[in-house]
Amino acid sequence: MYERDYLVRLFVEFAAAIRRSWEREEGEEDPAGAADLLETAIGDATEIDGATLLSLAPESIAAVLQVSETDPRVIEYVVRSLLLAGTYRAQAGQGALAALRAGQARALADAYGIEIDDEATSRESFERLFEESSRL
Amino acid sequence: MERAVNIEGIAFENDRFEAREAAGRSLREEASGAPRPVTPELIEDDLALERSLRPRYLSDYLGQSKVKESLGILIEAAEQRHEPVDHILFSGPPGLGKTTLATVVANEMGAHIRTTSGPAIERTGDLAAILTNLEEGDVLFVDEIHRLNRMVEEVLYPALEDFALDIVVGKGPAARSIRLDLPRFTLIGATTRTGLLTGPLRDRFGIAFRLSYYSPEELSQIVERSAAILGIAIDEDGALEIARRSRGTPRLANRLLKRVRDWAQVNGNALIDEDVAAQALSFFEVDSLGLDALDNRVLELLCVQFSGRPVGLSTLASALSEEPDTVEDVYEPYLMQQGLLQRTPKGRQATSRAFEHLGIVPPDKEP
Repeated sequence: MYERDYLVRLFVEFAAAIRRSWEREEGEEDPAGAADLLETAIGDATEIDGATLLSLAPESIAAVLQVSETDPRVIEYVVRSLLLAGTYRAQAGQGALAALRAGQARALADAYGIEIDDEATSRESFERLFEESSRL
Repeated sequence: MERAVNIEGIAFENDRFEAREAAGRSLREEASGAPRPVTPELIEDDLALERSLRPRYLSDYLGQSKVKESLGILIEAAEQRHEPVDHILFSGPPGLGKTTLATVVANEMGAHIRTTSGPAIERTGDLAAILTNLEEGDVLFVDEIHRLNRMVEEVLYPALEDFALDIVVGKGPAARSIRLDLPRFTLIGATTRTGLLTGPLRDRFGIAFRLSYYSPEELSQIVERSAAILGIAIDEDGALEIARRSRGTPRLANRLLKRVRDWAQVNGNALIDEDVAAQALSFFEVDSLGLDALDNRVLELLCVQFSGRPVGLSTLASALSEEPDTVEDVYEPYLMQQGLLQRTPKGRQATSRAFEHLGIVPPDKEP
């Protein structure tokens, strides 16, 4: 019961951060700020110092999250948020960071057996994920 | 993969004073925009030159024979054990080859070298990124390692000792540490200020080498080697003349060689001999002891304006329109090494050699 509440709270916070990032990217035309929002949300959800976690090499971030026993359902949010943050970084002209985020998302998806496709960062796909999470 | 954290010089961008201080540049250089011809610090002109002249293996490296010998043993032993070389600290004045030796160690080990600098690693995350991107046997070279911030240093300790990175997970009472294994690597640190290195960091280096100034003979060999690589015609005496004026510093010797080559070319000298080298270096205001105009200005002030009397550091700095720290860190060391200036309880004083060098009779010996 407690675990379910905890996870639902995490998903709600993640969903709110993702929605804010859309507004930030579209409304304010600030893709770097939108990526910052997502990266902060990842740090909060995993309870690992976000700056340190997101600076790790792709294989290392996967290893750390596995060892920290982060719930696999949270990982799907992390993977998609990383992908979305990578897209925003690319828009902001931050090529190295964009590549790193994409690499981290792939490594994490491989480690947890999560399938990611071209639609993974579309709004429709995120809305479906939010919907599924709310039925937990 | 493109590295997210890289590095050289980024921490300098917003801190000009600190950068100037670290590079040992003076206010005059800042104002004029031109570095002194005899500064041992790396200047933009040196970059391409050093890249082409840098020896790749110990057998190509000239001078520092004791350091070379010890490194040779260290590397051979590590190879026999199939282990990376122990962590190494190189210290010594700028321009003596610390970076070059780090590259040589990596080449001898057949390892990749990753280069960064202390001030560029601002946050622990920057170091975590660098460490987790290393591969087994890699050499991580950290220049100006004394300028690492203390938080970053704390992260480095387990990496050096146990090849592990500790990451804190959770918050408050539930916080716990996760240990992430790192590949075995060799850290090579370089510093011009060993005294600023913290004890715990210094203790984690398996071996420390202090590089000393090169003799004119060693520098002369370096000049001849560089001339051969650059296709410059120079004879033994010409090389020795450049070496004598290079303040015991290979970087400076190579830079002066380039200046002399330019002068010789413009003046139609096909071969750089002693005479050509001397004339060229005098033209660039580098005298027979390797002093430039600013060094000579210090000596003139002490010998002429202050008549050989001891002068307080701040007075001398004011007379030079410089900061006292710059006088102390940039001008004085070489003048003291050459026995031209001494520090006395009453202040800085020119020696009899300084008067001799300027061709002035000391006041106490005037008829």
